[in-house]
Amino acid sequence: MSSAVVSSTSLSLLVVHAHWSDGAVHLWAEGDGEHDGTLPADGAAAPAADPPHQHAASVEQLRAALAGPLAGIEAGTGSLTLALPAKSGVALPSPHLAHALGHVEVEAEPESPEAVTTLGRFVVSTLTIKPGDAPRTLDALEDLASGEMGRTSASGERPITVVAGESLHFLAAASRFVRHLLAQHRVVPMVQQDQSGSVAGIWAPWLGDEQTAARAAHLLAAMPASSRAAFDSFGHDGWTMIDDFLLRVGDAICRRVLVQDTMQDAIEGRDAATDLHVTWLAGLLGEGPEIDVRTGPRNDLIKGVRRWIGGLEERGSGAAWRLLVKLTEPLDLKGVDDFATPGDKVRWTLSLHLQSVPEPEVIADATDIWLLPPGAASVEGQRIEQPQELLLSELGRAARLYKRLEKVLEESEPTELELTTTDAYKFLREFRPLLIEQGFGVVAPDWWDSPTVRLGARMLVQSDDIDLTSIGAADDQGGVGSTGSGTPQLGLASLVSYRWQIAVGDTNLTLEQFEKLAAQHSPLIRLNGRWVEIRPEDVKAAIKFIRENPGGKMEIGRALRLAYASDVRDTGVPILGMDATGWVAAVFGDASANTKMPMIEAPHGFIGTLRAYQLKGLSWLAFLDKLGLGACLADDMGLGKTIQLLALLAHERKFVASPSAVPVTPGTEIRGKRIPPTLLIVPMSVVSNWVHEARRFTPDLRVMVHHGLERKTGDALVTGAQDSDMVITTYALAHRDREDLSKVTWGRIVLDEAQNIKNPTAKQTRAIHSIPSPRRFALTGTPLENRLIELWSIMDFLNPGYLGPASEFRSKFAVPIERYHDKQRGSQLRGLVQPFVLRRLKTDPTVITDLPEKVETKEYCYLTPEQAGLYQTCVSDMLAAAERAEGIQRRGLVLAGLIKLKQICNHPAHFLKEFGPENSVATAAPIAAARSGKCQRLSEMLQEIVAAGDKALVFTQFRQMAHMLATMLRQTLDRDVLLLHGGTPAGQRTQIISDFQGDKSHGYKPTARSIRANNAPILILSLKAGGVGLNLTAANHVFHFDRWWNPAVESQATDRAYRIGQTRTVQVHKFIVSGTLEERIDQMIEEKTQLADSIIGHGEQWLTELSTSQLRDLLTLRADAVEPDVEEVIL
Amino acid sequence: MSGSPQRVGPGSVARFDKRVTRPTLHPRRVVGGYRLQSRPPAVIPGEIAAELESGQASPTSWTWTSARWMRPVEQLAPGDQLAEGLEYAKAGQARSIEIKPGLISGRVQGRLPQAYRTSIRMPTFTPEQWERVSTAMSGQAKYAAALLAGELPTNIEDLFAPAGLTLFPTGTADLSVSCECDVFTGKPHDYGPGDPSAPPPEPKPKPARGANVGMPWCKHVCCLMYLVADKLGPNPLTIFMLRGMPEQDLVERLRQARVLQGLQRTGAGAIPVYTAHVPGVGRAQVPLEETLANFWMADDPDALGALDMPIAPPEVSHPLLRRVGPSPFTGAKFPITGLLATCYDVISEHVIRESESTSPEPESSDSEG
Repeated sequence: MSSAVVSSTSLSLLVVHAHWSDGAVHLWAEGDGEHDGTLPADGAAAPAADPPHQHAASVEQLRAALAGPLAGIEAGTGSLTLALPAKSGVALPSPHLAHALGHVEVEAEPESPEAVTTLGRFVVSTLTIKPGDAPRTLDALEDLASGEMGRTSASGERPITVVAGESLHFLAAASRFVRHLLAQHRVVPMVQQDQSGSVAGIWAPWLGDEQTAARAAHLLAAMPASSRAAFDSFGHDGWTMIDDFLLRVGDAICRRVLVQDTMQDAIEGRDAATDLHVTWLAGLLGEGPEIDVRTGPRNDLIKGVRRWIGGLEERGSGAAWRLLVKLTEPLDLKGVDDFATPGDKVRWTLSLHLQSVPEPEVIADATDIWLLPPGAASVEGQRIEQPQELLLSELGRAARLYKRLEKVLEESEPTELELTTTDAYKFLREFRPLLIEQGFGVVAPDWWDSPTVRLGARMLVQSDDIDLTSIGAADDQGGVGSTGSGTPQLGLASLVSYRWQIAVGDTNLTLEQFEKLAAQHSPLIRLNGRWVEIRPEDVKAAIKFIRENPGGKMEIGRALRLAYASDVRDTGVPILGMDATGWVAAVFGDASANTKMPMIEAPHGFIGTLRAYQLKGLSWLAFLDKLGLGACLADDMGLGKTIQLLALLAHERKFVASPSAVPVTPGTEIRGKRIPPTLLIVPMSVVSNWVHEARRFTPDLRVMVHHGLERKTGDALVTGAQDSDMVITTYALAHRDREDLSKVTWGRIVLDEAQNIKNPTAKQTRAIHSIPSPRRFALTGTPLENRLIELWSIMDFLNPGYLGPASEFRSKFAVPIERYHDKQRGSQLRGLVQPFVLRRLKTDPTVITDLPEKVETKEYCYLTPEQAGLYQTCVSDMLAAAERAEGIQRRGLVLAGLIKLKQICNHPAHFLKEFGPENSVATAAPIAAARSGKCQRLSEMLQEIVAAGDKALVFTQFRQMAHMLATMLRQTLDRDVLLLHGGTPAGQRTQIISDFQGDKSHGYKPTARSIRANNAPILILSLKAGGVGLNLTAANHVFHFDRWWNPAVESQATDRAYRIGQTRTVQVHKFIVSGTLEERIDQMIEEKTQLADSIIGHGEQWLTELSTSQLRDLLTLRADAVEPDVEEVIL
Repeated sequence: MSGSPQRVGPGSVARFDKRVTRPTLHPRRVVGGYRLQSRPPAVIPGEIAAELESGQASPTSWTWTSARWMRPVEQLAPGDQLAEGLEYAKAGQARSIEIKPGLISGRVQGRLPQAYRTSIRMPTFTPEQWERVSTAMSGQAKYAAALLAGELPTNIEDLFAPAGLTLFPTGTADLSVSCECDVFTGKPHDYGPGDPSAPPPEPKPKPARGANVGMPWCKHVCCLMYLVADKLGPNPLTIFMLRGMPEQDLVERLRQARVLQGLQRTGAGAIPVYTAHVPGVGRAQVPLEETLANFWMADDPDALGALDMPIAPPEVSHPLLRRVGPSPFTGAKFPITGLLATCYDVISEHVIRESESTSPEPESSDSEG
């Protein structure tokens, strides 16, 4: 078998799958090691012919890896026979495992039948979880697999990454569906019967209602085929499986709760023999479901239950028409004041109609129905049989739920029912939902259910008015950390006065108005000319709340938490937000950042032009900085976070006009007051980029790089830092050198790619937290809203304590929002965080008009020590050889050397040809990205792009490199990565392109394969393959991984994405390795040197014409270039 | 639909018009006659059914059940009679139509003042045969689910074949037709000798290719067949009644039989005595073999994330209890509704509380390395 499996004895990855089968959740996992081939002891039950799954982890491995989530849960041992995709009798790995193993999707070749994918039967040994334990086990497994928690250490060995397979996510969702149903009272008591005829009580989820059924259908649609892979009594039928899961898990939970609550006591002493209710309840409330009953009553019980519960499904006699009732508010409201309920003075009307079910807009009024001739009639083309009888029978059906309708049934030709305000309220609140559920149409006034008009309390905050213009504008006191400058010391700890006010929606009520409200006893009230619902319990709660919370002074941070994130169960009354005066209003008021924030101008000393949104970002940073608040600039990649920060540093230093024109000694008279330096912590891969950007945009900024073996320590570091404006270091060094770094008086700390501190418990995160600084910023391009613990960690760095302790945050926000999609908590969190996060998307209207259609940036990368060593050796070998050779031989030597150098810049493995030969690429394991600066940067950037939902093209000249990148990125991104090279057959080419484009408008039908491809937002092209003709406008990022030195060729490649049909800004990222020939040649092209002319358009021939000393000058690794730390990379 | 015979169409009493006593050139117009509601495709037997079964037809048009019903007629009846029957059906020439187990009878207005009594008979199945079929049905969830939802699975005949039966009639063996018109009586209407107003005699229908010459077909029968086909569109389960099993009885049988069948299917050993139909689910899924290309993922990778399932109290408490009303058990004294309400509250509160109290913070882990 030409197995694509890379054998590895130690296990580093587990992909956990979950199945519901035979009354238990079965867990098994694929591992990246080989199975030992033995079956579990009880595997004998499985048909002997079925082979074990080759990648399946053993039960012991599974137990060890999942020990955390399984703590306190009784997990048995079992086995399953599964139908899984297989080739040549070997189970294919699931995508997660395939990506980790670096498998390349190889299309089945029709002429070789053994390569065709089929379903095979495989036996896996499993851990079994009882239905009652299923929800918390599945939740805990999902937690373990998500993010950093995915690493678990099995008895001190190297950590194992646990990844959740889709079937695990699916069952976890199904178990949440059960809890949703139970919380919503959507479960019915039921009787079940077994083969022998004996009966038992059971709690059965009720899925028959429209909304619930829609959720169930949605759940079914979200099921991966793998969830029904088990050979069992469900016969691979998805619905049968889910249905059984919901029933068994739901019943187990109900039973556990009722037993805990000793509900059984209620029927104690009652005679089950004479009372069928008691008989039935005995099976519903006890530990066991058994019902002891004789045959006669047993049949009565079954029939009765069917009839009773079956009533829920009852629809009217005419399936084509149904009753529709419509509540109309009183028309005559003369004499009804605001803040008053009209009570019984006015009449609401509940009118009766028949509504066509297939054509819901066709509605017949009762008044018209009574005029129709008996028999059949047609209303707007819809046939209606016996309309009068139908109306009456529907009314009869509805009257069982809503007793008031019985009154109209006394009339001979009822058309409507009058209701008092109190009754109208009761109808809306209680009966409307019931009638809708039972399948009737109900039309309520449109103001009903409007969420904006709830009664609650608003916080009024008074803070000092400070001169906002003085904050942003140039003041002689300089920037951050200034004291005694007249600007009050602000920040989240500053005290503000506050009090509470009663409000209905956005309307604040005076005490008098509120008292008037409280005197009403009806919940429907006229307010400002419209109807609002004021619940009596809310009024009571509000009175109590105001009485107990007279107001006073508190820290603004706490006030914000109270105003935006209170739980109604703690306060008793909904908290509707905050109104503020003074500086608090400017920062935290609604949309204040747009209106009250002082705008600042592009600072002197900043070379280049800031776009409008960048000026706004700069102003925002400066504003929050002044107020002592930590801010996170989270703009999309490519919007210029770097230059906004550099502009801020220039701004606060008040460089004089055209500083470069005035010869001054740095650090002396051009500055006003001395400004403490900014510590910038960045990932290794972007150090050079920052240095380049700073040099280019703010040449007067004194930048020190704290990096490398020769970096300063102790006092030298302190002195060096104090003489700088910005010190750049890496996350790893910030951790290692935290003691020395803590001795410096920093103006602020800025984290670039702040997701690096996403794990709040990591030592690195805690070390960075511990470095003292009065101001903190974070830059990130990754959207935070879906990774809440990451958000918390960054916010806690920026504004320590603001979001509370991690555990509290987790239970209050992270779990409800991520697991249960709690929208209210989501909006509360947004309210809390929004003042501190500025995120602009490339698609924002304010940004998009500002952006050119194409933005080109250069990404400066470093060489790892391995690369640097190879590079130097290669250069000296080449120079030595070149000196000795002549003519064509010399030319060949130089060209070959050049290619080698380029390969080294790409990745050592590229040069060393470690990666498998092209034709058997499928067998090659992914190469570590960490060995190459470029690869590391590429993975980081692509992760951000994928998280933002964008698509990217990656061009390389080398087919080998294209393969290597594809394999590497599949692993690092855990996604399918598409690959197009010169050797791709035409048919596949078309498929890959249409998969990537996902373009439905051109008659393109997505196939199962392309659905997966939509999950593959990256397309790697060898320049040869992707040069001309292709239309790849789905991409809005283009990477030139290695350089062609020919702008025409590069822009031709870029134009695959940047062409007609492209609706977004295309960002072009050109990778350059600092200090190597890549940078030198790029400089020459930029400076349009004479040499450059010969470079462009002539391939690399010109190089061969250089003298050896010229070559040496060009190729030698620059010592002055920022070189990465040798030691650093190994960390 | 109930199992009782259905009388469809208003105006089922023929109007007597004294002035017209002779046959007319065209059939007499019927006011309020029973007309085709759906539009049958042009008469190209076979192809239509194939198109319909492949799911390309819109749901409001002629359905596959209608097409399957018409298949024997299309094969047996002479083309002109078929076409005229269709015209009759479209024009509403049927004054009445009645469907009973094994019998379709109706009155179709032709050219004579008196409408023809026309009937179609087909054999019903014995209780034993039905027992066998309904057991087979309930053994497969997809059949039971579809039938409980009032749908007829396209592969329904697979259930009947093992018993040597077909649900839809296939030919003369299980269709016998008769009519009062001269195609069946064999004599033209008695106009009196030499009556100049007599229309040319209706041409004797020519037997269709390969048709059973022994059985005559007339346009009136064809008209009736079309109308039944039309009816089978929205109510496909009517075919069961024609075979002697009213729909309601069948559904009840399925419910009963599922109880017993289910026991053998699920390891748990027992299944609920009542299962609600869940609209929109239970349809047959893509066979596993056809999912190979995307076996491990859902077709829509974002579907799970988009599923909104708040674990929160209901808008109205105990909605189901309120909807079922008082319990039907006579003689049962214990206040079950009240106790169940308490149970609901206890369960709901517990589940909500549990979802809020989350597992403790995971122990400090380190991402370095």
